[in-house]
Amino acid sequence: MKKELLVVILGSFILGLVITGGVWTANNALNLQKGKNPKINSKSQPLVNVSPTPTLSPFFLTIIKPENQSISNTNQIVVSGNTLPNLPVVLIWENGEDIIQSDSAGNFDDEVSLISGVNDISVTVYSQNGNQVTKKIGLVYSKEGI
Amino acid sequence: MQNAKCKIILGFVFLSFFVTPVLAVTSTPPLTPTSTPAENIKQKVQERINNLATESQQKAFWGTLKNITNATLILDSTDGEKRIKTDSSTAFLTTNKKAVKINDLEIGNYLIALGLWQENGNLDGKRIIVLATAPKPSLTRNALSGPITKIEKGTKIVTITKPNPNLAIKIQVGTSTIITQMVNGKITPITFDKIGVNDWVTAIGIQKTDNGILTATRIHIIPGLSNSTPTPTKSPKATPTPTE
Repeated sequence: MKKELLVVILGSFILGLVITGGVWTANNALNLQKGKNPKINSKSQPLVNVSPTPTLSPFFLTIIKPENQSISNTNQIVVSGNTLPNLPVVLIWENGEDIIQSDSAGNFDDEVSLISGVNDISVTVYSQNGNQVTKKIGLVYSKEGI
Repeated sequence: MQNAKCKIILGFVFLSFFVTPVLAVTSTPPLTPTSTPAENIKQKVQERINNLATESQQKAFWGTLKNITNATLILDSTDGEKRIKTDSSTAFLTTNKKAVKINDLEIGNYLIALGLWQENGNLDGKRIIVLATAPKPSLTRNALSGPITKIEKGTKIVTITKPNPNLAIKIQVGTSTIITQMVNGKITPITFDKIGVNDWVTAIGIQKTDNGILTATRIHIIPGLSNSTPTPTKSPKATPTPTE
């Protein structure tokens, strides 16, 4: 019985040592991490005033759909795209035209009618400083598909 | 000895706690009735993916026939040279839906080829529509955009000055001209008297070659836009600001 008690005491002591050693190692590792990345609000750091640097968004026009050289089996399609916000967008197609305006996120979409066969759709966006970007899409309207 | 027996029994009891759930799980029969709808959904998803892949492959090439080499049609198009591979299953049709053969094609014919796009950039031709000549281009329309510098109310002529390059252009507004403006996020028709100097106007129409006046079919107004400084939108570059 005394022998068993001794084994239990010895076992507990070793376990205690292992746990203490683990805690100590973890603490050391945490302190090392803090040393590498000192707190931003540390008083030893000089105060630097960094204001956000504005970057000018380039003037662009992206046509999301339809894809160039695609085939439509309906005579009405939606042309959608993206540009800078609140700009006039001109769409000219085979038998119609429209002027719309991009929304506050720069998105736009418009319904376009197609003629049988090849259809050319021209999309132009104008910027306030007189620049313009035009993208042309060609697609085929065929009731039968391929 | 009594103590050792007790320990062994306790050991078995503890072991049974761990083993029982494992046995319970392994002894459960497979759920065959519920796996069938799951398989159906998986199959439908796969079919849809395959359909989308085929749809995205469907393309059309068009242009003037330049050459035919080994049943491959070579077209001259606005995007450059296009190649369409044909075989015995490719259908050749006139605009009147009359079937023709590849041998009936003539250099200079205008072709609209529908088929599946190949990774090498060629088209696997499925249906070819044959036109004797290229269709006439649709009516040329012009579009202009700029700030209004003058309005002649009597003649309904609006003068805009394009900022880049600095050029004054007159726009004739007629009775059939559609005038619009964005109101509460919607393109809304407005009347001519609502247009003012310094408004930003975008117009579509036909520009006369002799006097350069654009007869507008459609006008869109962005009120007072030209008063604001022409600045592209700014997106702040996130830079960390250390605080004390």
